[in-house]
Amino acid sequence: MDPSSLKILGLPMLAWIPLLPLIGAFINLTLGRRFSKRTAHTVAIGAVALACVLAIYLVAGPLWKMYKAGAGGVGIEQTIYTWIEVGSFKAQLAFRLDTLSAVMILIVTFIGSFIHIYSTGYMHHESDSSYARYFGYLNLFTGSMLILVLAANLPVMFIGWEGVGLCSFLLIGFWYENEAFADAGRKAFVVNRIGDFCFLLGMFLLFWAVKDTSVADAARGSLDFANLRDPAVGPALVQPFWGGDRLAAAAGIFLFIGACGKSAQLPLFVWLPDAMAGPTPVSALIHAATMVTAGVYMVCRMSFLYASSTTALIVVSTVGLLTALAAAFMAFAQTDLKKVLAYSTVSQLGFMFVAAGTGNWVAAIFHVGTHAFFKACLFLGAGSVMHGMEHGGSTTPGDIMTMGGLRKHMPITRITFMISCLAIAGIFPFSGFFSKDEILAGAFGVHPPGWPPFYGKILWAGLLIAALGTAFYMWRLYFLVFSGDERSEEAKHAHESPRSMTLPLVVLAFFATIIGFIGLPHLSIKLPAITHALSDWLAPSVTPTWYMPGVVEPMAIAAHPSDTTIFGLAGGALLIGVIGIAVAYVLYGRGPSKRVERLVEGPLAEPYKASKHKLWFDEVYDVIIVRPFRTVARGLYEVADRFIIDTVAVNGSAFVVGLVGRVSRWIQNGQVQRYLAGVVVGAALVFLVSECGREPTFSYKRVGAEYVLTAEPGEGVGGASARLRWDLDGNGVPDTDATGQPLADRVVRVRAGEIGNHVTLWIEDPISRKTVQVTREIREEVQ
Amino acid sequence: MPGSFVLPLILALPLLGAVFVMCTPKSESPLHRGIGLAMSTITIFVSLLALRYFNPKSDAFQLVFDVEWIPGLGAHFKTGIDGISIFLVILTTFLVPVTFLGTKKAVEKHSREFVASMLVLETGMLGAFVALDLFLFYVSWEVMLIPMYLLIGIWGGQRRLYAAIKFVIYTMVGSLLMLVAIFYVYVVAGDVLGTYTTDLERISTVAFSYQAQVWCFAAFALAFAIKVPLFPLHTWLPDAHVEAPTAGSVILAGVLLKFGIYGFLRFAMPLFPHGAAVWAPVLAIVSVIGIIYGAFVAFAQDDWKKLVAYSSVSHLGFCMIGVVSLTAMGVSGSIYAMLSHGLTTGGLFLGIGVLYERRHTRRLAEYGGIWKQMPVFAGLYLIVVMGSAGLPALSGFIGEFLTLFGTFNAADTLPAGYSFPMPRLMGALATTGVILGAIYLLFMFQKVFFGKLDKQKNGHLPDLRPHELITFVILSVAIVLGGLFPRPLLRVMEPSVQKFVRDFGSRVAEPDGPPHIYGSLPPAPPTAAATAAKDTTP
Repeated sequence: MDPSSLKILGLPMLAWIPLLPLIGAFINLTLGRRFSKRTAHTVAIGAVALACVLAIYLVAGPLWKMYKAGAGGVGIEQTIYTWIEVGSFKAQLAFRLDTLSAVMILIVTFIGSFIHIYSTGYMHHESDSSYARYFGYLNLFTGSMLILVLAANLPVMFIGWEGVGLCSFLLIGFWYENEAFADAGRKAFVVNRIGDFCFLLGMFLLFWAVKDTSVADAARGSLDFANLRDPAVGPALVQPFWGGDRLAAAAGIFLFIGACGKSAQLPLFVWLPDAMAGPTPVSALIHAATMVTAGVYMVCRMSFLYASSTTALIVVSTVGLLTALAAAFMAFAQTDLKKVLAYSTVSQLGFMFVAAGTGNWVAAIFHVGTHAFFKACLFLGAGSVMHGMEHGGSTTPGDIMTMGGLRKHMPITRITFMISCLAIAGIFPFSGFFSKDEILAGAFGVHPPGWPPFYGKILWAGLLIAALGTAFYMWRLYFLVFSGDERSEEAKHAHESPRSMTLPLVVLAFFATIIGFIGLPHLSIKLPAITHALSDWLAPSVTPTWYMPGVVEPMAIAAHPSDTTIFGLAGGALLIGVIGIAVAYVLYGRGPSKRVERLVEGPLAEPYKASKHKLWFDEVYDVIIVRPFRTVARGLYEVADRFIIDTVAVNGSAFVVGLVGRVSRWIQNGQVQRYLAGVVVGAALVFLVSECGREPTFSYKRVGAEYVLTAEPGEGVGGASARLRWDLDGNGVPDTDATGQPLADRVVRVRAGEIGNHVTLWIEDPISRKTVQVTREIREEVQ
Repeated sequence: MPGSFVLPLILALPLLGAVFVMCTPKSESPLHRGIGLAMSTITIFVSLLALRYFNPKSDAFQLVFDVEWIPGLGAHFKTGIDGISIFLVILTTFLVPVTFLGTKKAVEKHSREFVASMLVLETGMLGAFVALDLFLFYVSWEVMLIPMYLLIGIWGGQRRLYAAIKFVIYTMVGSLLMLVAIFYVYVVAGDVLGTYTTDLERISTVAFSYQAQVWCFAAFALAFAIKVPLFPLHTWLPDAHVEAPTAGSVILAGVLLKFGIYGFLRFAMPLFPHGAAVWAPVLAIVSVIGIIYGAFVAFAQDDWKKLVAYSSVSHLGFCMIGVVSLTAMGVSGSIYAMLSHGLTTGGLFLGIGVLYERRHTRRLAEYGGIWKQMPVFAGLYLIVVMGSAGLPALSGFIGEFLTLFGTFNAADTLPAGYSFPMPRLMGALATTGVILGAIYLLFMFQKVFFGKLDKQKNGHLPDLRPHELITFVILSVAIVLGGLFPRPLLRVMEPSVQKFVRDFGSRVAEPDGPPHIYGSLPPAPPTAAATAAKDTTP
């Protein structure tokens, strides 16, 4: 199929998928203030629904044909124009629909559409202008996410990557008048930016590594996925880098830190629980369809890179496991409905990263898909519950301690919520069972070269514990909300939500139930092809084998387990899920029991506190990052900038110049008397210290038979105290008097016959120790 | 050369406007601003003519206009543009009318003189960008100074005199040293070439001695580094910005700072490649410090204008490091970042002006919840803020991204004798500016627009007036288009940028010139290189 023929209005069809929601966003954000609610949501829903239809058409039509022809991994690539091109760097605004991105756009547009529909009910009480603003943001969010998943290269992916960050900032801080909500939005953006910083570094590193590698299709940009995946580039990715490890390790880890920011993994998960500040449908959008799945998707998209480095994969899986465990632990003691769900998302994302870190790409995407349905359903269900509680008059609609017994008042919400809880707990035959099982089985069998064989078993065991925790806290939540008796007046008056809200719940719950059947593992029993459709579908787009140059037979990253192992592991996981639910029932089946109180106050007091305070992550960050940052900023400004640079260096040098000026100004003030006094005093000083006034010399005079020679050594101190030597006979050496002492008198007399033709006088200045020699010819005649 | 009339014309038009406006009655009237807006608008259209005559494939100076100016001195009135300067010229002609449009009510006294100052300033700025003669460049460089001094000193805030004098003295210190270096270059080049000239293209053919290059580069670099401003020579900037009227801040940040980077590209580095090679590590380190330091200090501000002023220190650090990286990506990115910075920071200052006109305070704490009161302004300002924060698909991203890319790849293409210290570490450190930028910009945005509308005075602020709306829509559209379609611009820049990198590489690889003793050398015939250059110059 020629991809260039897939055009609408001259623009490639792939471009329309993100463009439609973006147009919707533009309309609502510019003209929305004049729109009625109906116009606003019609535009928004229409845009996403059209994108969804277009996505379905493209996947079911052209892509399906390519897939059948064995080109599902080549996919449809459409270039709109060259975005940036300088020197050897080139990035085209190009989109890529292969089997991997196909799954994602279907999830995003399909679930996104239902979240839009649901929002019409949930946000109905907003004013018209914020209603339009809300839908504008929602469309922008969806559009950004679609750019992210459809991108054909890293720079374009980065547009969507940062775009969803911006939208989360706007949507989490949607009720900006609340300072705490606005803070939460800003926190989301900044933490994401920390991840994005590493994403950029990963991108720079990759470009640096591959820019000189020539591949068959020279028209591509170096950072195109198709280019990076080219076998010719492989050696560049595995070249030794820092510490002898492969470059892929460094690049992969940097990109993964970016994914940690987006997908809320340790240590950057802190923004997601706070993101609850936004409207509940936004949480559903963030947690299910957009944003947090971006990190997992990116790692799968770069599977060829991660398959080149065991180190990077170990990091991914370890971080994933730790996050899954830590977040599950933090969910235990939360009493806010949405917070529990938020931690469950963090934990489930950990599962996905373990899958990705064990090379089990299909399972990772599978879990993204199933999780998207049941988590969207859970969040929208939570929104429905809170909506109901608000109608009942509650001012803290998210507090599960005030709920209970809602099964009577909200039957549809309750059933759909229960289905999703079963799915997330991994109970057969709900979708979560299958996807979680795939992850567990993949982890169980993984054996990275150079690492101990039990690494996979550790991952598996850790995930089992996290799964146990998941079943427990999710069902604790369920029981606290829906079972037992109402624990407050408000709960008694709660009622079911309008159809616009329950319809999406039913649809999502339906898919949360059945979607798992497309992702069964390959078994030796003959099952219909649909049961392993997903792994077949994704296979061409991911790299399931280690990239090890020199190894003839590529080695699979995730080993394929035998049927017995699969069934054994599935049984074990199911058992764990049931145990978790059972424990939750015992403790919370009829509302919080006395037993819980005893445990929490007794043996489990410390862990309870730790869970309640989210392991003090926010507090620790506050102490080691946030406050020092403020202090450093303040300190740099006050000390370095204001004092050292500006006051001392800049104004200091100006001050010195000014000082000189001021002193001379004091002197030069225009008063003639003072000038005169200055002249007099100065002259006196000069005369006092200097020998100026007259050249040092001597005079001679004939007085009778003798000459009288008088030394005139100049004025002032120098002249008065000058030491003299005379040479009267003209032999060139100083004369002595009768006693043998050097002749040193000021006035000397000498007989006319004894005087030479020339007389010399040496004058030594006692201060400067300089000697002046004066020689005069003596003439007969009287001067 | 076809189109050679364009550059002298755009230099003359604003000056003509200044003369016009001074001929009108002194009493305050909208006529003054009307003339300013009209003349600067005509100028932008004329400057767009440059694009029509400009051949984007060529890397030579184009639209060259050359007449003898002071024959005794060898000074020419020689103007021309290449891919490096063309968009900076257009940015200048673009920002001046936008500033006139966006600051209708900002000036309450002497509006006639204000308009005249702005127009003279425009001529000075354009002159410095198009000058191909050291003498003309220096004259334009100094001509800029006077109107800017007046803008700050007459229409500024409370400490306007302090700020204006600090601005002038600081700039003068640098430019006088540059003048000394220009004298030296003039004399030596004259001896070598046989004729004394200030023609940049002819002087560029002379290889100066190593010692001379080190010192002359230092002198030029000091003048330019103060203008950029590079850490730690930046403290005049926050003072000047805070005290300047909105229009002054917009032009100062939008155009004037660019002369620093432009000076390195056009004069300091091509004339003294060996000197540049010596100082490059220092410049690289100082730029990285500036990026981080500026961002930190910006975060510590409670004065809105100061925050944006320090953000310029951080942003211009990206531009500088891109130039020093000496890669096509880095240099193109640097020019692009300058263009984008002109739009975004200009927009940031105009936005401050919008609220300052209404509330007469710049303290962030005085605002809060403005979104509710002025939703249109808030939305448009958000685009500007995000453009400044380097959100992809907005203009700020392209420049930042390319300069960082260039820095990261600096070591691979450097000519012998030129070193860039630890390019990947420097690149990584500079990239932290991405995080820091988000921190202080969002902090600022949140302080002003989010939160409760709890200050009484903020309760009755009218949203954007039509002229403000037009200004911000123009800027936002430019920022978005700049982010989505950078390639047409990059493509025009590329040949000149490649030439800059290539020439620098080949000249730094050549040996330096012999030590020069004034008067000891007989006037030699032009060197072979000079003759060749002459032949290609039409």
